Amino acid sequence: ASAAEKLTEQLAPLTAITGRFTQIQKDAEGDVFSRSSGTFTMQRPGMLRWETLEPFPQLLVTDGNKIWLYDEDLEQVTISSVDEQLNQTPAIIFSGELKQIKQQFDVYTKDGARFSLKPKGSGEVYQRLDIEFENNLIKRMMILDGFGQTTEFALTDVTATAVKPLSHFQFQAPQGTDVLVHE
Amino acid sequence: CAGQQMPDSAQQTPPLPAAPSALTQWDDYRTVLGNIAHWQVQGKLGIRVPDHSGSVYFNWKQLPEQFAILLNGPLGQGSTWVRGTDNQVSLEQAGQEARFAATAEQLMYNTLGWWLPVSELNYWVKGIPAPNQPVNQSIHYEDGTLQTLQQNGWDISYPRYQQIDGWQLPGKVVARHRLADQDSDIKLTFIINQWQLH
Repeated sequence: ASAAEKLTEQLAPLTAITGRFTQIQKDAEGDVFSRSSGTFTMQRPGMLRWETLEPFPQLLVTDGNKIWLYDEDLEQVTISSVDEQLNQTPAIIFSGELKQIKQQFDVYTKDGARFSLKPKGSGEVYQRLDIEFENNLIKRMMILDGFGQTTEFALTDVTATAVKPLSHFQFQAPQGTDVLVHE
Repeated sequence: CAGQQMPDSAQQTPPLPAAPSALTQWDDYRTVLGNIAHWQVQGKLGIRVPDHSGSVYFNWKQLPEQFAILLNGPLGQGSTWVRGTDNQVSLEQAGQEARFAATAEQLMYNTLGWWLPVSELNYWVKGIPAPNQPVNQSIHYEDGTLQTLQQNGWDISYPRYQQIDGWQLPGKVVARHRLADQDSDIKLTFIINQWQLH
């Protein structure tokens, strides 16, 4: 089986997973310039709930159609449509049909557990997306962007979970929150 | 004996000066803090502009004659670098041509649709007015630190501070630029989680 098929085999059974994340960003020289952590739920197709707890509370949820970015400390929620921006994040793995991934990426693997995905388009905003599996669950992801900066997502306490209702991936703004809509 | 000359010392940053009292020596406080030209600040920035609102993470590294500001989205995507020296500013986004201009304000507005008043923010973010420019109005807290400031058409407020190496530095900065025509009104909210003064 090709690397892409092996990847899709690993991803196919994962309809919904949940766990904790630590996100570390490094510049091209490898110096850490930001670190955050929180909890996540990813569900096919294209649903993500990414709740940063440290250093700031921030909730990003998408139902595959709209994205809500809620900043409690700014008392604002920004609503935008799923777009190119989100496809540059690990959410793409859960964003659509598996054949879409094969269309958009050249996929490489040596051991069937660690995969590298290189966007097929030119002038891509990121150079490579790595995904690492461990006992059939995603353990780590990394994005190498156009500046040579890396954003690494270390996932822990990852478990497959029952499919959650759509409302889990949508957001109701609390009273008094500024709602900002991006066309 | 004579001070030991470090053989190949890295660019030697001057030791951090002690903080004068903001209450009783405000002018010294303002001058000394303003002259610390080597610092870094990290946090989250809320942007409210008629059609470009949102929030980004920022990392601002300031050196004596240059600055580098990195902005990116919640999952690290959409990195934008704004770098400047005394006479030129560049703005780079991954996968796109770098752009150049004389000032950061113009460059950011043309590219991002909003801008940071970088030259004044260099001081406002420290909780002090920009030097050699009139201060229209300022109110201080009991400990002497700035509570609100009006300068260059901006209203800046400092809801909270944090203690860093003997200095009281802002933890939250809200900067509003109000102009007659509504569509150039801009509100920037900086929530700062890390300060480094060198």
